[in-house]
Amino acid sequence: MSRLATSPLAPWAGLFLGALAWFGQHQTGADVNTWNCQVGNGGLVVLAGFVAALVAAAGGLISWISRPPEDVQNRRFARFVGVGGAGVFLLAIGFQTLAGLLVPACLR
Amino acid sequence: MKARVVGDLSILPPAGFRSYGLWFWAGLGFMSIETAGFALAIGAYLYLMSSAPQWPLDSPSPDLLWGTLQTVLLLASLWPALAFSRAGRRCDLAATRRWGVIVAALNALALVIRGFEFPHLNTRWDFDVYGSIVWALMLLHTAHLITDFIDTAMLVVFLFTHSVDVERFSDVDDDCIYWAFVVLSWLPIYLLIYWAPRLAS
Repeated sequence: MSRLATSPLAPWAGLFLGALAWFGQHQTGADVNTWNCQVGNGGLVVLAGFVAALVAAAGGLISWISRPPEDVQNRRFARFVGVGGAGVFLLAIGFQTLAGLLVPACLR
Repeated sequence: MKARVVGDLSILPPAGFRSYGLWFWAGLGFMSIETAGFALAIGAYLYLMSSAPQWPLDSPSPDLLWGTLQTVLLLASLWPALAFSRAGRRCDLAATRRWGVIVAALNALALVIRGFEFPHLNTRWDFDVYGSIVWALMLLHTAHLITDFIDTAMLVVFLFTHSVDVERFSDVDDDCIYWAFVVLSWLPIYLLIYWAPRLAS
């Protein structure tokens, strides 16, 4: 049995990594933009969004594959929350990235 | 359905204080969304508490010391935050820098105390539903403490390293309003986490 299948944290990975990625992208984008709006332009927004989306998706994947051979109800619920959470945060990351592309950095 | 325009923010100047600045309105929107998040989490806590045979389910109540110390610190920090805000609105750079350092230090201290609060909750996040909702409320508020600390610290460094115009002074004022929101949103959470288990048992 793989370590993921027995780890108590793995089913929650999508929820926690998704939240962390969303929070990190938001904080990075806002702070870089405040510090120097020439730097916080579209390219950086897209890059930060891409990295955050990868982290959230990886979390969702970990939740999904953390299924033991005999899945128990509590663990299945946690895995579904993890995958669903990653999906919600992916959506939020997508909207943040889109907003960063629509509004010029130095007007933000 | 016919749309009804209640205000046109496009007429606002590029920079201004309070309702004359676009960021003030953005901040209000941000706080409204976050208030809804807090309300949902508080509603979940009350729902779980009302349907449980006893509360906490199978843990001792959280220790009062660190949470109460946190509450006192947060309430006390409103005074330097007000001074920081007023200095910003006067466009007094020296005073803004001075109060900014104090407010950022208090923000950092709140995070240190928060670090001591978690081990004294006397429950783990995955122990039972009581532990999960207590940790969820704490983490939700801690995310706000972290955000405000980063924003304030960065703003203060900016005040020392960049030329400061009206837009940055209005950022100072907005930062103080947000800090007041973080402090006030803590009060119902403090009562729920630290006092509800005592009053319910």
